[in-house]
Amino acid sequence: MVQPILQVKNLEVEFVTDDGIVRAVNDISFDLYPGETLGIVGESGSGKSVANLTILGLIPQPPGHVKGGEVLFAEQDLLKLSQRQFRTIRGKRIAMIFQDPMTALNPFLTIQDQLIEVSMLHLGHTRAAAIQHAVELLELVGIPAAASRITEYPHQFSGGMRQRVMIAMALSCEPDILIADEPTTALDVTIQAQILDLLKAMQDKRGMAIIFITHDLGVVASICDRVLVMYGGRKVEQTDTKTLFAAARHPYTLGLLHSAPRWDQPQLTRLQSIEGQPPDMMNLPAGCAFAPRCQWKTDECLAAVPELVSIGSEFSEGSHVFACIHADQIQQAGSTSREELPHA
Amino acid sequence: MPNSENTILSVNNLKVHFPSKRKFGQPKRWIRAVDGIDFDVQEGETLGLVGESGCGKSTTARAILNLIHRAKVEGTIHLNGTRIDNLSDRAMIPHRLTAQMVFQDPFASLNPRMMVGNIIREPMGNYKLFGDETGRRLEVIRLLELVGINPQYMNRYPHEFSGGQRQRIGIARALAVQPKLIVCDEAVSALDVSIQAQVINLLMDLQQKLGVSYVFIAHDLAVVRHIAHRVGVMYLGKIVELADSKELYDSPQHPYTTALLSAAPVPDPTVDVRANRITLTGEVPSPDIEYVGCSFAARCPQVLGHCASTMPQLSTTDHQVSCLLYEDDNIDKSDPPKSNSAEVVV
Repeated sequence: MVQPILQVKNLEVEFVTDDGIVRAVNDISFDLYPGETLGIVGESGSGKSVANLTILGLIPQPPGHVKGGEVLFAEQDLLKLSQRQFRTIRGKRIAMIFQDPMTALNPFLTIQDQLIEVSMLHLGHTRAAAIQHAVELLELVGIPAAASRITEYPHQFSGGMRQRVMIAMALSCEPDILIADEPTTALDVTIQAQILDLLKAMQDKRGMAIIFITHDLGVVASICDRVLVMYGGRKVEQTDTKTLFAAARHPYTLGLLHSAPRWDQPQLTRLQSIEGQPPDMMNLPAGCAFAPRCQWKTDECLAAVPELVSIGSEFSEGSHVFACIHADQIQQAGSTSREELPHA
Repeated sequence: MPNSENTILSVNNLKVHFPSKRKFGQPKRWIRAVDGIDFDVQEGETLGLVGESGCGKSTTARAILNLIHRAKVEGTIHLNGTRIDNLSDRAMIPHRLTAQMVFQDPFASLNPRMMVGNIIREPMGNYKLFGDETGRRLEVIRLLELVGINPQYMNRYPHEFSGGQRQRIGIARALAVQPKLIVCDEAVSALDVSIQAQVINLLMDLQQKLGVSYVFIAHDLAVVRHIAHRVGVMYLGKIVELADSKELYDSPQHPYTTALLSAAPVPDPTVDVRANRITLTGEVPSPDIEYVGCSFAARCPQVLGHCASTMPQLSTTDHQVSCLLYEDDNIDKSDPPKSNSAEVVV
């Protein structure tokens, strides 16, 4: 049996603000296996970025506060490491691609200065060897004339190229885990397609595991093996990508799938949107956080947070975890509405 | 020139060239942001404009409303039958009743120091609409209800609302002067999928109720297909293809449109997008170059030998396309390219 490379257990993160406590991540658990891509989907504020920043020890404390849980990697709990110990892992064995290539690079340093720092620090390269390594990486991510362009500044690169520099930086030490936080959201579709292909190719070559945070279901469908859906700081559903799209069992997931317009099908008159607003993370309801927006809600939903139910073992096809007491009804609704949808 | 009574907006050979910073000893260069585009919008119609960043979509949006300054603007724009491209800011004021805009960023486009009721009332007051203050107050309440915001919240400030709610407020403000045309520049791009669907539905409902026309600019191909009746695809300041929405998406003709659609992800894991992907090489070239031939020639997978030297014209058929592959003269379509590069005029 394959051992998970990363185990997140019952992670809880909150932020103490003047207005109250924001419970950003509530009891999140998941395993990540070598060579797989796990998608994390959810609305802005659902806690998906905070959960992953916590894994990398990048939550500012205070105001942030890891209230509980474990992040197991290489037989140690990352949450217990000192900043000094963390530096031997961050960037080397777990690397991250940030969302915004415009702000994540230092505008005052050349691409070369920013790229060689990683390999000089973690791999003990000399400056000359690090430059050589950096040029190879830039070529790998498809930057033309890498050897001459490496001495340029970030503003001389286009958005797509800067994002590739970020990817090159993240891949610099051949990490075991790559956390990609909306790496293609700011990019045009043609560049996005190139970047997704590139990540896939890197993964096939090095067996790296990827956590892919996104809100674009099109991207999920094309790159992720398994998907974890977050709502109101909690995991509400997790399964393999095919099952998620074919048989969603949480009403939020179903709503998301229905509200995404498709360019490859004739337009419907109206999109089936999810009514209402995302929950206020400072005042989460006592019951299911999605209940105020849910058409299936009953009194039971309002009383207590629904437990996560799992069917199938985590390795089998169709294994499925969900937190909804009306899951069967929702799966039914999903399959009937699909039949009604016109197909191109 | 407006070609029928129902035409709200008519754009003819519009060019917007921004001067670029002159480097020492070099001649002045022009960034050809929009480089000769034609389209019109009918009453109650939505025209979508798609393209990658830098293709001139947003410049087009601003040019339609005569909001471009410090640039060379050529061509004509007729709004509701009146030519507006040569009007001064002051002379433009009455025409702002006809056309309004919804901006991309719901956080930056509302004044943080004004209560939302006042944000929506301000344009009405400017134009002395709806009688007196009481009339305007009633209209604010009606508009807030129309866009799905509880009118009790009219004394709250923008920061008290979520992104989707703010975008609704931006839409209410655009509707305040009862315009015939609303230009939406990436109006739903900043929103979460579930909220985006709400706002798209709202825009479509408003069109049905009020008969308003939209120019809907976005980079998301799926959103544009959903909302637009006709869609124009822009590349480097030009419209390369313009057709009925279904027609364009189901049978794209221009090689750039085909490539763009093939790269767009589909939210369905059973569709293997990667299998049909056409990968474009290179990046969008700098817009300060004037081409003799087709500006897409250098990246085009179906390039012909004379593409680099012959400028394609947008056809005048229902499905307009600007590509030599579809021009009807005696072009040798098997003519291979001498080199895959475009000729330029410096």
